[in-house]
Amino acid sequence: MKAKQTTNNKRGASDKVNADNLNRHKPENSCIGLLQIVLGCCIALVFLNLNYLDKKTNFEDAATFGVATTSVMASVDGHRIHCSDSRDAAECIMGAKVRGAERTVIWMGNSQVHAVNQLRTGETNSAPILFGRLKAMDFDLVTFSQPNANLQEHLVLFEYLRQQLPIRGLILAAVFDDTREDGLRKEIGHFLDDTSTRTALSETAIGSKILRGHKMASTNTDSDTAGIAHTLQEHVEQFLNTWLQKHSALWGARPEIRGQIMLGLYVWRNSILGIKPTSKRKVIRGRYQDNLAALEAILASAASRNIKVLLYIAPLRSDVEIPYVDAEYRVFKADVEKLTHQYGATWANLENLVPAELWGSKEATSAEGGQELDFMHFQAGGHQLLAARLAELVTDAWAKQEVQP
Amino acid sequence: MIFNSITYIVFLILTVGLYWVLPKQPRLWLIFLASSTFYGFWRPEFLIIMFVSAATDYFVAMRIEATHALAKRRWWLLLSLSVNLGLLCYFKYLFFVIDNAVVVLNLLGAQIRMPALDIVLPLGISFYTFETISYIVDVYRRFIPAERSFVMYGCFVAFFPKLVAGPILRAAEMLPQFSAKPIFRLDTFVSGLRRILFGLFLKVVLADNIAPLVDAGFQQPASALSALDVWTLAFLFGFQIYFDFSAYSSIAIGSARLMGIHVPENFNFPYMATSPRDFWQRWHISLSSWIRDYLYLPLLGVKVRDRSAGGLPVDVGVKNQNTRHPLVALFLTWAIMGLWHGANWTFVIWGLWHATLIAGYRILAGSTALLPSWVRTYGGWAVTLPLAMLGWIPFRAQSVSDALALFAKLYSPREYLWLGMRENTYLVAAVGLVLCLVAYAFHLYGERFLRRWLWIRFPVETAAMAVVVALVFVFLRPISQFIYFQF
Repeated sequence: MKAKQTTNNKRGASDKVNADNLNRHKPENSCIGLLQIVLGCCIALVFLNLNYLDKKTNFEDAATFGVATTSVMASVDGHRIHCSDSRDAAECIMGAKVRGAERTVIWMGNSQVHAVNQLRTGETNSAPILFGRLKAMDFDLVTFSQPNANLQEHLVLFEYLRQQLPIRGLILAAVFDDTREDGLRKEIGHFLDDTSTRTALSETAIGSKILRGHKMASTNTDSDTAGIAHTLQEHVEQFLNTWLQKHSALWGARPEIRGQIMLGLYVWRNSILGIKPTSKRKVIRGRYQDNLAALEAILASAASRNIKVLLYIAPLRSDVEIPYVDAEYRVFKADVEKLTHQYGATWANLENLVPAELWGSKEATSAEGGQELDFMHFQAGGHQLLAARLAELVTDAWAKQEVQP
Repeated sequence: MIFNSITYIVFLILTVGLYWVLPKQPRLWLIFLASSTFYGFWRPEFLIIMFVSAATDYFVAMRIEATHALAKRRWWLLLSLSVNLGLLCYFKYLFFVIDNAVVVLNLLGAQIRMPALDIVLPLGISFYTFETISYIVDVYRRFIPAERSFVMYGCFVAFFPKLVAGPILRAAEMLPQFSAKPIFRLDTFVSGLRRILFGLFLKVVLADNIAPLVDAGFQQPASALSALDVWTLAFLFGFQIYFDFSAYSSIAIGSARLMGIHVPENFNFPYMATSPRDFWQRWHISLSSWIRDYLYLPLLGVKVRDRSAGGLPVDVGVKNQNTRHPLVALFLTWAIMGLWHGANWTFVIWGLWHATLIAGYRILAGSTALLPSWVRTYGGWAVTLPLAMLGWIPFRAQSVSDALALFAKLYSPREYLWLGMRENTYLVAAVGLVLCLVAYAFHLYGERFLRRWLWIRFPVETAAMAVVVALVFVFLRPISQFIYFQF
């Protein structure tokens, strides 16, 4: 063992480190260095003020479909019948209670359910149309949808809602795209504050995994002060933040700016890598398995409570090549169908329901701008078709079988 | 208190402002009180533990210095080590020891349940314990005199910039700086500001935004990940921990410089290392030099004759060349180094992984010396980087079984044929690698170029500063702690 040689080597490396240290702040540069810092601060603040102040962006919508596509969240008699998540769930629940609903049907899906392409005055989406059709069958429809909603989120929402409403039926959209998603967004995660929901989830393996994942995510990023939770610094930090927000509009705009930067990176990425709506999206094995497990948990939970389920493969644009790998998409449909039959639910493949002319375009999510094909959202005519077909399926599958408690 | 917060910025402005207007003795008290406040912002009650440790060493060091009989001095040293290591073991390793004992006893047929323990690990205990140990050992070795002023010694132990996550400092390099009258130098001050901004950039812009991808990846069961995913996660976590930890060191160094105090570097482009040995001369330099001086060399039986100060620049003499069991010393040292990071077998595996790399390097060093230097440099980098990155798998994995399952993926050719994570994960890992290469290239060539062309330098550096300031302004929030806080 040559200890001396080792230490000499190390001394050589460290000398380099120390020499670097000394070189980095040469006396002749100190005033210029200070000027650079001051100028840098001024330029940064002016730039942020000019570009980001007084902007308010819905980042979910911006990343999903842009301004050519519109979200519609319908109300009936002043009460919401279509909601997103924990931010407005109480309104929908209250509406159902006010209407005295005894046989509630929940419809859960992604942005396809609430977004309308090239919306014109007087048009709407499927939810209010289906609400009217189901009302005639003495069902009260409450719809929940979120952009890129995955089946794990649907499971959490379902377990929450079934304890709030007298659910007799569930309409669930199965979207291949959404099996690539994972975890809970914060607004769905808030439903886990409800003890009964947590207990229900903990009874399944996937539910327990969701709870674990949410706990970890909450610990890491639930709030801006997650790193100093339950410390004296948390109080001081919150006080300073509040004070700064009160006295500086730019400080208050920081969440908006963060979102804008992330959105910019997303658009930039798409441009550089040539990512378009037609780009193939491959299955992500772990997420796929978790989402299918969540679907099974929903079906099992519904079956054990005599809740009828209608599961449909969501409409997909068929006039151009689909953005999935054919074999993977076929496996997905087969897996969903198998699970549906296994739990005695109703299965429908609606992928070809909406004809080509009723699909639209959306604002491009790349730096080139312009419009690009939208594979997920269709025009109001498509929503009418979807509502009509779902109403038929409900009639055939449930109403004729007399859905009763 | 954590650095990536507006609280710290306000705290630093107040402390540094007062520091430069106060005379010497009150200035020391200011550092002492500011450091106590800094620490107390987390859990004030744990200040007591730090001061018990510091006070023990303060008094024992004076006894050691005053005692001439070797046996007595040894007893005092043992007392100090017992208190320091006792505290560390209680807070950090008791649960681990009991847990393992219960497992072993149950395997032997006993029916024992794990007792409920509620032990909170005091922040920075691993760091300040090592510092106090180095102080007492250096006094024992008669390398440095015992410090008479408790406030001065308290400043060394609790100096807030390095208190929670290092760099691990030596008394010989810090105490003279506290005792000397500081002279305000604008260049040191400006370089301190730059280092703080750069550190905040690394933490809040890079490390904190990589973290969710790493968390999501390691949350997946191994069955959901391919071999390419394991490689990607290894690299991605490697970048996260490097940006995170070097950010802490950078802010610590910068904060100290604002007070005219020099704290040695802790990192030197570790992912550009051309051998495992080189890696450890570039990564967490203060820990690796501490481990060498106070653990590895004594285990080898090498008598250290001169004082070890200033991190790596160490001057040791070897009494005799007949060192004891070099391989045993190497592996034992690295196992302990792993355990220092955390009470989990995953860290031991990480340590042994690096011990294996270094042992392998020593065996092959003779043969590789025959190769052309460019092959040694580039080839060495191409081999060292992935091997060092793979070491992060056990370091980050939740359990030994998880780590082994992830490692197992690497040996199956079929696992290289598919991908199991979102596309962005691979993209960010690739960007991280490019960023490291560009930063190193700039360090080697760009700085020299800019020094020569001053008319370009000023606008370029000002624009870069504006970007850094803007991003730090937007992303600054204590959304997460520094990774090394848990150690």
